[in-house]
Amino acid sequence: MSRKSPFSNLSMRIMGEKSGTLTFARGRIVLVATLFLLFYVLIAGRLVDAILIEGYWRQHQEGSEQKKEAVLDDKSSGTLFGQDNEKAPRRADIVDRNGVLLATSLKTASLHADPKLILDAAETAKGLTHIFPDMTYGETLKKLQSDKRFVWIRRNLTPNEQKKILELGEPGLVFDYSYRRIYPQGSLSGHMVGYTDIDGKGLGGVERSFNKLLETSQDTLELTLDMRFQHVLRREVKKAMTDFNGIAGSGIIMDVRSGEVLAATSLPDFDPNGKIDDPSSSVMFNRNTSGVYELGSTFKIFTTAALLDRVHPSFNKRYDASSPIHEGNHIIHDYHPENRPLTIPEIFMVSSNIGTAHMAQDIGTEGLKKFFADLGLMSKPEFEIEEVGGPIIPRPWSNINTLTASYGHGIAVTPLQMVAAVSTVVNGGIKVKPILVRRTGESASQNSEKIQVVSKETSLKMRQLLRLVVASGTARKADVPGYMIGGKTGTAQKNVHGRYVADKRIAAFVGIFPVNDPQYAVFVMVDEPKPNKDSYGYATAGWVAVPATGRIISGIGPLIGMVPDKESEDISEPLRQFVSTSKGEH
Amino acid sequence: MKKFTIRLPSLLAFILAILLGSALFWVSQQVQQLERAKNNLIAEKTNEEEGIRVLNAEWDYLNRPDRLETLVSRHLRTLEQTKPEDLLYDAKAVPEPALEEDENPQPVMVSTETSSKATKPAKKKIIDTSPARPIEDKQSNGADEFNHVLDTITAGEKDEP
Repeated sequence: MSRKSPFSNLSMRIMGEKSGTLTFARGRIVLVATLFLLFYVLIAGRLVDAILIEGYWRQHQEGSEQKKEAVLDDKSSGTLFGQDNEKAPRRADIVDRNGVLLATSLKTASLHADPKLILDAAETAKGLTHIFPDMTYGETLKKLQSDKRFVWIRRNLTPNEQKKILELGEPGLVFDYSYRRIYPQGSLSGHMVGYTDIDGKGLGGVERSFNKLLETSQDTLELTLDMRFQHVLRREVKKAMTDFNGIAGSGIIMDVRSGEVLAATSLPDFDPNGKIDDPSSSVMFNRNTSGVYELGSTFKIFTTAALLDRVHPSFNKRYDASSPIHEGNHIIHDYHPENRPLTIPEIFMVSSNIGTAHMAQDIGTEGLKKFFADLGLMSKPEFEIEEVGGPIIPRPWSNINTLTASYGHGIAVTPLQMVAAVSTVVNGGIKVKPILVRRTGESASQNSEKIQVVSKETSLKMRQLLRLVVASGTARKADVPGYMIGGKTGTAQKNVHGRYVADKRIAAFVGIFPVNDPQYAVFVMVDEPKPNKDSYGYATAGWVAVPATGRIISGIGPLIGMVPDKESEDISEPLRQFVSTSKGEH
Repeated sequence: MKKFTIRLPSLLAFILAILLGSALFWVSQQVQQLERAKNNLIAEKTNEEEGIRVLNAEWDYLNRPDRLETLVSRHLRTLEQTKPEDLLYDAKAVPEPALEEDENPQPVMVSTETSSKATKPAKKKIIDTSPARPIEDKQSNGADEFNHVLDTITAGEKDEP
């Protein structure tokens, strides 16, 4: 066999006894050379792989820049690869109890420029001002000619704007993709949901109080709100406010058993999608949780409940309302004096201040204060947003304060406290803590620590009294046949700089339905309503807040499929024997 | 002279090395390709998800209650807000619509014959020849039905004077 090695051309042949060793050595050389050859082939192969094959793919992918970016984004979010050490870029969604989006984050393009790379600043500035008519040419040109390497042009572009900018073909204009907070419900989602700044930091409502959770978790945050209820509530409060030319309005619908806030509106309100110029302006103010108001006669619910629960009088007991009460410099009188001794149902029905003040005297200052405290009216309530105000309580609390507080003067609480306290009174006496974030499963049952504030019997009696007010008292305009609504009106003069002003009022109504087995409490308040033609010169709660509540209840009843039951017995019927009047208006 | 021979084991080792090398190269190419495919899929998925998020937001934006209310009041004037008295426990409680005196309590039968009088006689023939048959929810029926319609149309055209 003739061997053809690379060395075969070498003519040198050494023969002799050493030739074996030489051949062996030559074999070694061949081996080493082969190894080197293989090594170079390997390198060549790797180069082909790196330059031709991988290079081809890389070039191929460069066309779809956005895709690559999406991949990078997905990697940095870490959810796919189980690395949660990096901050999640997308803020979690907020939905209502039916899953309707209240707040979501969508990816939008923002435009910035690198002035060093701008080819023709003047032309670009012209193009940009053409796309964004609100930008001025001079200012844009100044930005584009500055010495910096990074200037913001416009954040959160629409796709259409982005397309037009791409058509400018300017290499110095760079897009940056970021998430923008969107509130699909606009101003309807309101103060409870809140708003964020341009960097997506929560500045109000749930957005603020749950900022950390929303930033780190990808789980959707479910609120107790129901946007259908919210719409009905907002529409009707707005109508009441417009009809009576009020300066502000507020409304709450609460589930009386769980304390879930189903709807809460504070008017005037704001659109969280827009630019928030002044966080301290009146539209940003959440009247339901931050606003404290003297809510007038609605407080008689608590005074009467305290009397029934702590003193246990019979309904037949009479209090003398024949003459105003003189206490120190104060005179307590009724708006529509009956000028005679009144039974408890009569006092409640005609909303007699004198009678209620006498009741408070029976309860005693300490008793009334303790009862108010049990209902959560004496301290700042716990709630899931940060804009919560505490009540204004007379300090020191003297005897006259007991008398005035019994009918809701001299003590100011937030609407949220009011509606939670009313829920407590009517739901069988179990203390209600208002909640805004929906609990499901275990956390819901864990939270059901039950504190009995008033007895079941008192609760039932209060429901009878509340029904009496709507059936034949000051709130007849709230009645919806078959729905068995109960409630109490309250018209209070506003305290402006320490003086009560006669023509500046707060008109409030708190209603519950169905009164036989209460499910919902509805609170409506209008600030400074003015009389109109249709109300015959009245701007009291009975004309302002009561009809609005009636409309709200007849609006939400069908939504929850509540069938009116016209045959059911009116629970206020048994109280009629104690009532010998049927008038009363405020 | 001792011949320089490659022994079989060395040859085998050499071939094995080449084979393994190519196999490694092939696998690494495969891995890279799959990686690329995966990244593309992730990118597509992210894009799709983002698209769904946008659509969801738009859906809820377009279904704002006040917008729906405005649209209904503008376009569906007969549609009112449900009132409490519209709800009933019992379906039988819904009143029967009152009949006119000369009205036949039987449901009105709509005949295709009467309506076809106004049309061309040729079309009447089409209707007569085509047996009334329910449209079945079968995929294979689609082509048959189409052919049938085509046939009747061409037949109708022939009959035309």
